[in-house]
Amino acid sequence: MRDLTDDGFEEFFRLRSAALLRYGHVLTGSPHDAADLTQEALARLREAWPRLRQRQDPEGYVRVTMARLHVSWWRRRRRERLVRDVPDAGYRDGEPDLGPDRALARALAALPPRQRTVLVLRYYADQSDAEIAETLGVSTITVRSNASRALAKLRLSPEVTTLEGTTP
Amino acid sequence: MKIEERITHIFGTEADAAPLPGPTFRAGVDRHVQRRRTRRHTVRALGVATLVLGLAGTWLAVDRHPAAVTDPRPATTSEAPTPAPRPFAEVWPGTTRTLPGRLPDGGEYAIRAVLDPDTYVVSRTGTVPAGPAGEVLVLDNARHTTRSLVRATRPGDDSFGVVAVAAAEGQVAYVTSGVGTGAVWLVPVTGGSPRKVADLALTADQGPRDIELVIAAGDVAWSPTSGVTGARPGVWRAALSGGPARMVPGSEGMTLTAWPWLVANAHDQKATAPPTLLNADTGERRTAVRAVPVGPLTCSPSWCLGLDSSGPYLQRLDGTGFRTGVPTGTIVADRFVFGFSMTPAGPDQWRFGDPEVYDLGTGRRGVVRSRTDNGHRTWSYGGGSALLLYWSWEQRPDTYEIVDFTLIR
Repeated sequence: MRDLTDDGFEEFFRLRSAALLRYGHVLTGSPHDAADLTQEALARLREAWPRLRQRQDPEGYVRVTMARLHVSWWRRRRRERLVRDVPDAGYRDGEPDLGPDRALARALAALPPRQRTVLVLRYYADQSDAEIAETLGVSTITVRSNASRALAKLRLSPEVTTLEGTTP
Repeated sequence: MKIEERITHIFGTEADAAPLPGPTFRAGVDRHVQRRRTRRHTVRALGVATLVLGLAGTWLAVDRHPAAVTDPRPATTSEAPTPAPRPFAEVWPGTTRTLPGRLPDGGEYAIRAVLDPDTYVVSRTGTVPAGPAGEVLVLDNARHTTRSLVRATRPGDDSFGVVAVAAAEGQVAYVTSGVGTGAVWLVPVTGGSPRKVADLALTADQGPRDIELVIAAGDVAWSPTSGVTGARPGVWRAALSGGPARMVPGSEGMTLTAWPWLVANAHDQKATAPPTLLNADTGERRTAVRAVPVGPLTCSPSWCLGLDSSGPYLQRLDGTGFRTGVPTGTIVADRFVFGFSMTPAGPDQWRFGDPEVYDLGTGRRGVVRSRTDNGHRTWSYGGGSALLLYWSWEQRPDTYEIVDFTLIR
C-alpha cells in the first residue's frame, strides 16, 4: 500500500474521494445526503489523520464512520426524512436504469436507515454479518434481525406490490 | 430473480449513478472541519453558561410557562380548497387518447412529444429483432404508421442511445449518450440529416444521465445535471437557425424550468436559502420567498413545490397562496404539477399514491386510478418539458392511454 506519510491527506482525497462518494450514495440513496455524509466523514478523517496515517487504513476508518454516521444522523432527523428529493414519478431519462426494480428501489429508500445500512453492507460491500456487526458496533444477532426485518418489509411493501404490480 | 439479487443490482446501479466529486467538494470537507471546531468551542461555552444558569435557577423563583411551540408551516392561507382528484377523462374531456402499445413492427416504444392530436414523436426502447433502441420515430396514430427520423445507435455498444428528446417548432432535438460520448442534435420533424448542435464534455466513465432539453422561441436549450464535467455546468442554448452553442451567462448551477426561465432549486432537506430564477433572455432575476423556512423547494417562475415532514405543499413564488394536500413531483410549463400523492405512513415511511396531474391555474386535478381488473400499470410523463402523461395496464399491454395537456387552455 502507498505510504501516506508527509501528510498525504490530499493524495488520499484525490485517489479515493470518488469511491467514497459512491459508497455514500448507496448508503443514503441521495446525492445531496451522500455529499454531506462523505464530507463529514472526510472531515473527521482530516482531524484524525496524524494518528490514522500510521495505521495506513484511512479508507476503512472513513467507511466505518460513514456507516455509523448515517445511522445516527437519520435517527436524529427521522421527522425530516424524505424519500430522495422531491421525487418525479414514472420513467425519466436521467434516472438510473432500474427497469422493473424501480419500485423496489423506492421501497429500499423508505427503509429505516439502520436496516438499509445493513443491506448495503451485506449486498453492496459484501461484508459478512460478523463484519457488519463490527462496522456498526452491534451484535451479529442485531445485524441478522435488521436484515431479516428489512427483507420482510420489502417483500410486503405496498410500494413494491402497487408499483410492480403483483396487485393493482 | 431473488430479491437479494435484485437488491445487489439496485445498489450497484445506484453506485454507478453517483455523481463524481465536483470542484467544490474538497472545500466542503474544510467547511465540515471548521464547523466541527466551531461546534466544539460552542459546546464548551454552552457548558459554562449552562452551569451558571443552573446555579442561578436554584436561586430564582420564577413563574415559568412552557415555550411556545413554533409550527414551521404558515397558518392556513390556502387560496382554494384542494379538490379530490378524478379520472382524467372526467376532469379534461377531449384530452385523452388511446395509442397502440407496440409499434407496427412489434417494437416497444416510449412517447416523447405530441406534434398534434394524432401525431407523436416516439423513441424505440426495445431491441432487436424489432429494431434497435435509440431510434426516434414519428408515429401517426390515425394511419397506424411510423416514419423513422433517426437511428442513434452504435454497433456493439449497448450503452449508446438517445437519453432525451424534445419536439416543437418543426424540429426534434435529441441527446445521444454512450460511455465517454454525448452530443445534442437537431433534425427537422419532416426528416432529413441530423445536425450536431454541440458535443457534451463528459466525465471519464459515463455519459449524461440526467439532462433537461427543450425547444422554444427559436432556441434549443439544455441543462445537464450529472455525468457531464467541466468547470461550469449550467444551461446552454443554440438557435434553431444555426450558430454555435453558448452557455447562458450566470446560469452556473441552474436547470431549465419554463423557458426562458432557469432555476437553482433547493434540494437539501436542510436548505434554508430560497431558490433563485434567471430569465435567459432578459437577465431578470427572481428569488422565491419561503413559506416554510427549511427544506427542499423547487420553483417555476410563478409557483414553488416543497416537501416537509407533513408532506408536500405548494406556494406562490412570493410566499403567498400556501396550500397542502397537493401531489408532489415536478412543475411543468409553470402551470401543472406532474407527480403523485405522497403521505406519511408512519416513522420513516411514505405512501405513494396514484399518478396525478394538478392544474395550478384552475385547481383541477386528474388521476390514473388503480383498477383491480386491469392489473398493475406503468406510466410516464414523457420527460423534460413534454406536456403528456401516458400509461398502460398489465392486462392491456397492447394499449397506451395518454393525456395531451397541450389541449388544455
